[in-house]
Amino acid sequence: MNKSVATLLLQGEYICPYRYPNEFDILQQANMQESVDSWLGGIGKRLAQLGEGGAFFMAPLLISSEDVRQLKSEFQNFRDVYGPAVLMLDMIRQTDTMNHTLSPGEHIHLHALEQAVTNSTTLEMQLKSLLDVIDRASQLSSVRENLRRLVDHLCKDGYLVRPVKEQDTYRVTGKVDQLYAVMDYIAINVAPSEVDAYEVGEPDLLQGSKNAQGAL
Amino acid sequence: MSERSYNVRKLLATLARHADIVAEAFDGSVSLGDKQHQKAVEALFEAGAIKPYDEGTYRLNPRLREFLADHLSSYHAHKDLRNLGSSMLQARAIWEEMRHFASDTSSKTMEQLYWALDEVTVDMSYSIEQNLHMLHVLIGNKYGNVEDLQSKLRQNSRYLKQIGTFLNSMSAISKFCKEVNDAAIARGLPEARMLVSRRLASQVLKWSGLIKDAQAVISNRLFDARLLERRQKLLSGVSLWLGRHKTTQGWDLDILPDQAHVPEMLRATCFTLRVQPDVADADELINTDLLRVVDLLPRPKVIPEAQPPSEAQRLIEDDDEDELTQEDAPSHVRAILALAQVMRGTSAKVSLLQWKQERLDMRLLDDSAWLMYCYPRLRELGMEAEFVVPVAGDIFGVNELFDDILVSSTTQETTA
Repeated sequence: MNKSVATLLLQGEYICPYRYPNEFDILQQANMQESVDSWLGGIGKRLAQLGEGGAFFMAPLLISSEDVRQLKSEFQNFRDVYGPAVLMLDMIRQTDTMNHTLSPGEHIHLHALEQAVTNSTTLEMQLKSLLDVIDRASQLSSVRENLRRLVDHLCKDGYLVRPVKEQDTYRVTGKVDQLYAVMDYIAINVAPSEVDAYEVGEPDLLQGSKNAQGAL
Repeated sequence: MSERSYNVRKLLATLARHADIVAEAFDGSVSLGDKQHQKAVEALFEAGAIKPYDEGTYRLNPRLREFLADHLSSYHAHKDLRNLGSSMLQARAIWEEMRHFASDTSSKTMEQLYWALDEVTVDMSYSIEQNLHMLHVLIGNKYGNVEDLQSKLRQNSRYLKQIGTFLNSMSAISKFCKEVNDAAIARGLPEARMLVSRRLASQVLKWSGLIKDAQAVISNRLFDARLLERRQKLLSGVSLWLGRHKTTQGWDLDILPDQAHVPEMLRATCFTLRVQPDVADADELINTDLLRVVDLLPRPKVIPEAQPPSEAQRLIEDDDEDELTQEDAPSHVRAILALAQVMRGTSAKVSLLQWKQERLDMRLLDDSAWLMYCYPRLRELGMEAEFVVPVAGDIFGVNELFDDILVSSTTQETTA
């Protein structure tokens, strides 16, 4: 049983190859997974993984009513619990500089974000509209400074990691899969017409685009 | 505080007091409801914050709704950009008046005109900023205020047209600024020139740039043909939902524990452990570590030696007159003490009444009071009492009657 792996799991961390490469490698070994799993079983937990090859984390051995209550509460307070991460990641997606897919392991360059935002007043306005969501962001700070705070906020929440302290390059961590799992559930169970409208309307949208551009 | 400020504060206090009704009215109409609700609705109606809509229902004052919508960036479908035409006409009219009164710059009218021009320019500037904000929000959420694609497309072309008018307004503002700039010095109205330059002329270029930028984006952004990955669509969709429903916190969902993705959705939380050292472990290494930790611990506080608990308080009854000195003591005390002293040396019986009558200082004391006073004290003074029963006693009497008490020394008897 590796001490570092046990500590991280008990701390509620998601062990992915981008944030905790050594621990992830250790957990790749089947015998280690078994040993960790049985050790966690003693405290009513188990070793779980987010999808195939995703991040490892500590899940309850059996889903209790307390777990269900916690999940319900998180859905009820979605705006506070997940809202900031969703809005900030969507802001990065919209910068579109590197065709961001926001999948685990993807690189995000701060300078590219800055360039995209400064070149578009629309994105700049959108960044401004997120200032009350981003930790320590301010109207008085520059675009770069506010973007840095945005990525720092995402790092603090565990969705991004900065592998080299001296470089302004960040990587999306495996924890983001948990967020996608939650959003997937919402799209299926809550308001598919609202949340998923964009996807459903895609073919029409393309056609509409052509028609509209022809008309203009 | 001026009366005007007081009224503003009063109005805002009313709104704050009934904030829940205002919030309810922002989402739709409010009805009278129970007594408390009715009272709140009436207070808001008196303040003009809500207006009658249908029978028994009220809607938020449109101006207040506009203010809140601006604040929340929540716009209804096909909301027009604010028209700057009327504000421009107003500004021109005020400028004309200023030119008319230019000869008398110190007059009260001129002061009022300056104030009015300032107000109009601020209003224009606010409207432009709000228009830009609305455009960026609508572009940002891809016309999230309507659902279907056709409506989005129609809104897109509508705003493209309105942007054209908006840009024309910028030209009109530039023209007006130039006019003021040219004529103000000649007319002796430098403050008007400064005001218009600062509030409008210096901003026009920036505003025009922003509008053109929005114009370029608006025709392309919605129709971005790039196929998004499933996850990006989710991110975009949920983000849009958050942008559209600013007053909603989340969803009330039913979750079954055996649903497939529940473990994945549950956020991994910290499992708190507190490790305790095994103080019974005799291992030298452990012992050394424990001693090192003990050294790091703060010194124990010196507890002051506990004082023995003081005896519980008790009421000490004075032995009445016994503790008094002979001189201070009242006559009856002196008398009984003297009697006790006399009795110590003799075995004879002494009548208490006789003893009293022989003492001049006790003449005023009632006989029965003297007997009643002495009787309970005789034993502790070493004397024994014997009642002198009246000759013709009351045979039906309940109480034991006596006329006198004969006193003899008990110590004398015991020693004998």
